Amino acid sequence: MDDPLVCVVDDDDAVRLSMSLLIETLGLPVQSFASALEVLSDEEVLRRAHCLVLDVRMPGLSGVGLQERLGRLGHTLPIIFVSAHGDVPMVARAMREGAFDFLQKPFNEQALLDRVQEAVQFAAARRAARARLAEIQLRVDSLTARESDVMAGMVAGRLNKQIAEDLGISIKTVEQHRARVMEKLQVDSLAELVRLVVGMGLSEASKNG
Amino acid sequence: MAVEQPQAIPAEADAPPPDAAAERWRLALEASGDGVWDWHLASGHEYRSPLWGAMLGYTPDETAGLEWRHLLHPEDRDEALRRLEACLHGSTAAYEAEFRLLGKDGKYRWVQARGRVCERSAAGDPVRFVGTHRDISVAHAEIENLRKSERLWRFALEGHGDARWDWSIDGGEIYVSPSFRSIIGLCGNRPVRGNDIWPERLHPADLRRAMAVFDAHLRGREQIADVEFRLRCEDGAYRWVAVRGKVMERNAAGQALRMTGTVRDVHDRHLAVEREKRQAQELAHAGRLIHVGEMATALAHELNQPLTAIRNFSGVVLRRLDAVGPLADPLREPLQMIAQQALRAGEIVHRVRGFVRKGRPVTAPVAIGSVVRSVVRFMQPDLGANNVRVVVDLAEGLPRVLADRVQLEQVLANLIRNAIDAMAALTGERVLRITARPGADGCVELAVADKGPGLADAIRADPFLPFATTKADGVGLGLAICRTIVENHGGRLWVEHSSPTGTTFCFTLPALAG
Repeated sequence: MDDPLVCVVDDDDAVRLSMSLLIETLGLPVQSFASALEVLSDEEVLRRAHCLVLDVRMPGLSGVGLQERLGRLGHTLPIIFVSAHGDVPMVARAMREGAFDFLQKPFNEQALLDRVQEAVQFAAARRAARARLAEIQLRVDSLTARESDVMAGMVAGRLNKQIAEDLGISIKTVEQHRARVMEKLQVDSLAELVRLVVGMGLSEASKNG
Repeated sequence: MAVEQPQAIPAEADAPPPDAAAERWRLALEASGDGVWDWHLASGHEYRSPLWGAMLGYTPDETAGLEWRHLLHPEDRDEALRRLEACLHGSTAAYEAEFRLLGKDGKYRWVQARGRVCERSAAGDPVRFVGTHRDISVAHAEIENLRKSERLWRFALEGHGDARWDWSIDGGEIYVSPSFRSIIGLCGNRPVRGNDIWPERLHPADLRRAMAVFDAHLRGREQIADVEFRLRCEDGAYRWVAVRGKVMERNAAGQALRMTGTVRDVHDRHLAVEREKRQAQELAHAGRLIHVGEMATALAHELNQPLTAIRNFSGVVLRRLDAVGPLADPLREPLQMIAQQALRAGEIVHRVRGFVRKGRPVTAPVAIGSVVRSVVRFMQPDLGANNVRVVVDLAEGLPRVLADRVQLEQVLANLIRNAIDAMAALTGERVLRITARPGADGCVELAVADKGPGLADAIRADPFLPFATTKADGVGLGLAICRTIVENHGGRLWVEHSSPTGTTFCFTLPALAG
């Protein structure tokens, strides 16, 4: 998994530098940019970033504009806005679009650090969950057609005898497939298998939602 | 006295021969242009010089036969004859009269007659009466024109209703018309001296200006004196008047002898103009304030960046110092103070923006507790000075609200201020309670409670009404503004409780989900 990276975007040099240094005291690596467009064009940063600390009003693409673009591109990293400005429509929009927080300058720097910490943890947790999901998916994909069918029967609570009847194979064959399924999916019990499959099913739904 | 030899009158016995001295007198009289008459009352004969007749257009021959009384203008006859008789009878030493005489062309001419009885009998009867006639038609016409124009002028003024004044500068007397008197409340007809009005009644602030205007005219630099100033009335109050005047007479050296003019009471108009000017000035001032406000706002925005950087950098240093351990102790406190001061500067900028900002709120997710603590800290000097103990009671886990922090602070500061004032006369313990709880419908409910005597009757019905105030120097807008702010945020502000033991104001704010 990638090291958590915090990305800071602010067109004011002093603010950008001071924020970078501050966040680094948390022991987190920071990459900073003077404009929103620069961030958009850096694929690697976008991939690695666990948190984006963003000024609202910048020349060119604004902070909220960047938030929108990232959303459309499918990036869901938490964004913390820091700004001297902030009227109702803008802040409401930012929060509605899923901003993690909105701090008014000059902010209490401990507050920023706390929120960055929380955002990074949140992002890390979500990545871990996604990675796990992807891994499970790989394992599931590695099942043969027959093994898949047997797994479906197992999860449905069918006895081996019933599964054998459903699929028109011998009980022995069912037992063999069963063992392979448990092995490939790396689970030790039926309960665990069910949890895995059910959990994956729900995750799938939320991922598409 | 010898007299010239007449030409066509009956010869007299023994007219004395002309001599050099007599000739001189004759020539002088001729040169002066005056006509001469010489009347012997006993015989009734009257000698008249050629000029006597010539000034009326008669030849010497015609002159002799003229009957003077018949030439007199009917209007002037009585007076002329009266004066004549007076002199003849000795009532007056000299004869002096002005009258019109009919000329040959049928036109009257003004003539001035002067004469004396130069010989009387032993009984005192006049024997001989001698004198001159002077043609004063031209001078008379001029005087008559002057009088006519003055009459017209006076008539016009009287008709206009303006108050008049007529000032004999060297004599000092000033005539003030009844209208003028009533402007300054002067009763009766007591004569007024110029000094009683000018500069005595002039307002000190207008003195120099008014005198300068009059001076300019008196010296001939300006055509007319036209100036407004305040005059002190009989009751002591000052009234604005508009004065116009012109010098009517000057002496040979050009100095003003007589000045006359009008006065108008313009007090009300002046007040109205002054009021308009003040309003315009205030508007301009407000306009400038708005500019200042916009400048201050722009400045505040600009300042926020370096202030943020200062805080961040001092935060960085403090955290890096943690790795150094106790060796860094002497460095920590000063650094913390740097950070504190940056925070303080930020709050000042915050407040400045709050004061001058108008229009839409600048919102962000706000933690109520932080706002309450910040305002209480800010008002500590006031609270301390008034011996008010503050109890802050915030529920756990209060959701944040989407609000303009500065405006919220204004609302709280206002309510706290009112609470302090309410308890100003309280002898018991002065306690101010600020509470915050989750309210109904996903909002946060705050309460500010004092132990004062409750809302005054005057404002109890609706304390939020604009301009409702019980404070002597209050404007009465505080609560109205607070209510507007709270309602703009989607909340409500109301009086929860008001009794002789205290008042509680409550307001709600919609909570931010999540």
